[in-house]
Amino acid sequence: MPKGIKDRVAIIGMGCVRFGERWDMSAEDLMVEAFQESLTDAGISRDDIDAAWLSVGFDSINVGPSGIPAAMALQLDSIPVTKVENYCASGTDAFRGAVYAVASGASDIALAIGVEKLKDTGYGGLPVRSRGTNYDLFGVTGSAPGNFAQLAMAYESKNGVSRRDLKEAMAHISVKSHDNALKNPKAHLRKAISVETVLNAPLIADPLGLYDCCGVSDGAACAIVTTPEKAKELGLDNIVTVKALQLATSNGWETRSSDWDGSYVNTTRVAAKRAYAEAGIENPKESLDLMEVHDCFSITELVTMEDLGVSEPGTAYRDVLSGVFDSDGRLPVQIDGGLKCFGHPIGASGLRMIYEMYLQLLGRAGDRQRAGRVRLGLTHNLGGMPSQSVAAVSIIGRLGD
Amino acid sequence: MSNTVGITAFGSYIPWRRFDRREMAKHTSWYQKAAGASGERAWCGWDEDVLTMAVEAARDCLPQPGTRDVSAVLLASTTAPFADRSGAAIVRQAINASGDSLCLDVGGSYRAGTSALLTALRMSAGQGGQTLCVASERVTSEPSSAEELQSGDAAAAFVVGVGDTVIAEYLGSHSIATDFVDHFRPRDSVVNYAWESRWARDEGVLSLAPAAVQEALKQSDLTAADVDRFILPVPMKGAAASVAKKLGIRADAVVAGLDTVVGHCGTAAPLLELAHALEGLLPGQCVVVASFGSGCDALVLRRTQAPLRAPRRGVSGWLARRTTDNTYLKFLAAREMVHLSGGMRAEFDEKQSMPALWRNQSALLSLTGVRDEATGEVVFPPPAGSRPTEDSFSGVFLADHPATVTTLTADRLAYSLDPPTHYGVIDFDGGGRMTAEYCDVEPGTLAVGSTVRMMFRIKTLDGRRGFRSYFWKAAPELDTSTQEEEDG
Repeated sequence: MPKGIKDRVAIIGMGCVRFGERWDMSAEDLMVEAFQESLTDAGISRDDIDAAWLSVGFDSINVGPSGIPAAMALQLDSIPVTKVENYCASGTDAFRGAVYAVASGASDIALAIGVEKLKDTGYGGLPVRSRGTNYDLFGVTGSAPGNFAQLAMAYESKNGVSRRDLKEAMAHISVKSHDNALKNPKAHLRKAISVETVLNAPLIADPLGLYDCCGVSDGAACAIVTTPEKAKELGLDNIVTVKALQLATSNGWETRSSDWDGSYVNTTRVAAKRAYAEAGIENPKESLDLMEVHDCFSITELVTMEDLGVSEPGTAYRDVLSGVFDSDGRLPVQIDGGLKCFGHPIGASGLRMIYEMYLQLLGRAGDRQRAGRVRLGLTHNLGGMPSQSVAAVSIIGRLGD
Repeated sequence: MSNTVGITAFGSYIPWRRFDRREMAKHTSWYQKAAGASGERAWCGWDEDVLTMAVEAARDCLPQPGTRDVSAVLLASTTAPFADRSGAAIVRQAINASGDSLCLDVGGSYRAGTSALLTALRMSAGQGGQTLCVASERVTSEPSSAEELQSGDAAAAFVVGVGDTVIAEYLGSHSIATDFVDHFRPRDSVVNYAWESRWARDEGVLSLAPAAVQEALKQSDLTAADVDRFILPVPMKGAAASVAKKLGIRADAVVAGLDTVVGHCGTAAPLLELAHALEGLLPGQCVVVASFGSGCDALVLRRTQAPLRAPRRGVSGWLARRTTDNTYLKFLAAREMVHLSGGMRAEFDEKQSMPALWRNQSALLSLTGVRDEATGEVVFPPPAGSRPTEDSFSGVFLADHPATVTTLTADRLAYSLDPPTHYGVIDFDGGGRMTAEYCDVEPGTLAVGSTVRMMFRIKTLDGRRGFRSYFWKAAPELDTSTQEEEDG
């Protein structure tokens, strides 16, 4: 077991633009806006940054290939800029690049920035794209909701949950995120909805209806990281650090072996287990105070509660319905509105989750600040589809805690 | 082993969808009154064509699972999707027959089905060996035309060989080739141009068919009285009965035909009727199969004493596997007679890479996975570095393995000509898993644990370049199968 990066890297500045339909902003404009916020927050100048990672999900309607667009937009002078693409987990993976650069000592201050410009696509939902020459030969021409809807079907079947109970739990998740987003000025969808609205919405991919799907947004978010020592040199005393940062990628086991029943996301389980070990967490249910998970669809959030070990197998739907994960519950999940309502600009989403943890840990989350203890937060960023996924789990806390 | 030449196995395919002709006529009645529209016609969904139907008909007559002991494949059609890309070769590969099989695509007129069968019989008589002969037709007609109502999509297949396994012995035949033009289709047209059917019947069918049948009977040392089944599927009412009467063939020998439940299926029509007739033909009974198109073919066959190798479903089984779908615009869109707005999602460029198709041909066309000899695990698609030619991996032909639904969804967001797109993870009996599209799904009937069977379908239509690729989809195993496996 490697010794890990617990408390070896500090987050000293973060930025996040208002997510939504940013018709008047280019991807580059969005990056600049998020970057300026993070520089001001960190109290450094752009020349202090010595390496950068750019995360993008769909580069063809975004900034195009390579790290050059970030270097140009942010005027980063000849430093290494690496573009990261790892499906919807790209944002956390870019963060991982910056964090590891600092942890290794190769970099003093590193930047991770993620951006997406989905509203330039021309239609709702994610853009249709090739998954590569080989995959396209065999792969079904499906959609993200279709891929995740299968989780619900398998979950029902495995756990003997009725469609009605599952749909109500899923609706509770979406209603919760809409409620939470009302207190978030940067959220894309800020409108309360009712359980009935969710249940009566048109089906997108059976059993997921319109309100079981997250927002598709424009947006950018970024993080500036350094060592805790450097953070202290910069005059910080309340220092947010990375306790764990893990990424797990499917090797094809799920699509190859009948041992996987389709009702959970294996990579989430693996990444979580490693992250808990790295952070020294033995009982996540007790230790974690807040979670931002990859709620691309309501069913994903529900299943993720079990995959992260904060609900017992087969019981997440009951925990959801009993309010455990509500903003005033025992373990609030998506207190900022989540992908569902803050929005899901792919490349930025992982960094947006960390942004929220950072604000909450520093007590800067405004109206949506969690009442009570915020000591350890978890972010979960999931790319691909349940059968072929990349899951990133980070645990964020304060130095010394 | 005897030297008997004839048919050793027969099969067919009729698409799941049926259109009620009265309902179809209503759609165009404001424009053209269709007199006497009755019954229903079979029609292909967007992902079916002559080749997918041909493969299913071929599979219907071959042992499942089993060896594909054929050395030649003949495919007859006038509506094959490609003018230059061998359909017979695709059929050959989809049924996993030997790569050195002689494969030939034939067409030219609706008579091509019987001519191909005749060719197969003569090949076997001359050199032995088994030939797979398939006829498949998916005629595209002008909306509101009589032909649109009369036609149906279907395919039929036969294995022809020599020896004790012959179930229908070839006795004789006669062919007349002549330029009688009842309809025609220029190279650059997708629809036929038809002449008045009364003329085609009186001057064509009633003149050419009796001559051909009479000579075929003579070649077979039989008389009209010996005929137990008479097949002459032409879309003119009463034509077959008139020919029979003219020849002295018993009226009750005239096969009623599948026009009211399938529709006239061009080159496949006489062969589909033959496949249907063989289901009930008793040993010793004779059948005459005649076809009409740029002349006339007539073949005479007699049921032997050999036990019938029943098709997996057969005509009766396919007829029972059905749904009524009277959505006229969907019908037209599936035949590319109308362009529906699919929104921007439909604009995705489906250009296919020929090297990639070629590299993966056995996985794509034959649904061949690999078995890891070390672990026994069956993997599909074959993982990187597992070419079946290597010793540590062996090929597994998964197309005939039943499978179970593990996950599923009905996706209304992904673009499809026939939404919702059903798909999910399936597990094959005996090992192997794939993420598959489900086809022929009655919404709401598929569930985790349902049994599915693989069917050969169009995977991708590249409209921009006119190309299409094929792959396998999983169809619900409906409880309509009349026969299972082989009985003898």
